Amino acid sequence: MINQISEAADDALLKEYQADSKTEVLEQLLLRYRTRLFNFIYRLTRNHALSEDLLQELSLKVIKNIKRFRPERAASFRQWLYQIAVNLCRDNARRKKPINSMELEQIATQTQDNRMEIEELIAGLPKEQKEVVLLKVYSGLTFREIAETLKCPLNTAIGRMHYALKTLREKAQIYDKV
Amino acid sequence: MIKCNIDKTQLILYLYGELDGNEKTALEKHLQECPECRAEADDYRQILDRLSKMTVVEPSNVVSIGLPYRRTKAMTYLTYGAIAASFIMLAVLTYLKLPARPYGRSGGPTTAVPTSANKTDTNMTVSISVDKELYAWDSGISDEIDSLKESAKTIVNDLNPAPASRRWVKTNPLASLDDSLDKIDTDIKTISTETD
Repeated sequence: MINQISEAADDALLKEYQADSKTEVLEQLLLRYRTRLFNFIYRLTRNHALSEDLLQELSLKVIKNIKRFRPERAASFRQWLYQIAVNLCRDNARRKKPINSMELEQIATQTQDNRMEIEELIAGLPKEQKEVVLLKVYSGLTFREIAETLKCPLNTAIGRMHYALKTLREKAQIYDKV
Repeated sequence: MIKCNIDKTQLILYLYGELDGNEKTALEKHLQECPECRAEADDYRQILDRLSKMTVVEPSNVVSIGLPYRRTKAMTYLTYGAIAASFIMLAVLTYLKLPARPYGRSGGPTTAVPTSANKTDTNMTVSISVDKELYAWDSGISDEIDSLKESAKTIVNDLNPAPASRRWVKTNPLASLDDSLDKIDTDIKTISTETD
């Protein structure tokens, strides 16, 4: 499980960086999200190497644009990060890069209990539902923020989560009976 | 039994603590009265618990932001940039050594300026060195060389990989490189003006 991140601390670091341009501050800011973003991207792409490339690409976009980012006019830094991540994953899916479905099996050998089951179940969800579920798990954004990030109505975002949970519940019940 | 007509998406908001005070109170009251919604909420809670316990996958240590270890376009630009920077520095320092009049001091300084840009898969270096005599040379130009040396340091700092634990973010090396090159260009112009 990944710990929650304080948004106030993000804002403080962001202001510090925008004032002094200290590399260490930007590094600190991005490192807070490194694992979360990687897991989010990885669960969407299901490819470790590709996820590393996309994470790197994401950071370059942040470095390039962070001076122009104004949280008071738009989303929070966290929301902005995940918006970039979603866009990168969607662009990647459009490019139709090959998916390495074997990787999740490798995880299965490293984990215990029913963790592989939930990985498989999430992988089987429709893309739109998967985005909402994974954003909820890894970003900690509210549904309103998720709706803004995905550029969809609030009720649509909540509805996708509801359908996803229903599907996961039904499949998990079948799985548990086997 | 009366069929429950509540909007089930309210359950989702409730489980995530995103209902406001009144809505939350109303839903909690409903859950006490409705076994169907209570069972559904419990099921969702279990799923959310499983989701929160998913394995955390870590990116490998070579994932580097701004200083990619893999061969990328940025790496290619860095390579050319480093080579270009060393040629510029070599040219400037050779120019400083060339004037027929050694700026008034008999014997003049001797200068060794080995400048190189070497590249491996994971590392690049740009080095510059000047004889100590040059610094003892009271011509005023040594200040300019110090400035160039600082530019070279900036490039080296940007090209040297950070320790593994801190590789994720570095300054944008291309931006720094451009700045360094701009600085060198300015220095060349300054020195040219002074020696003309």
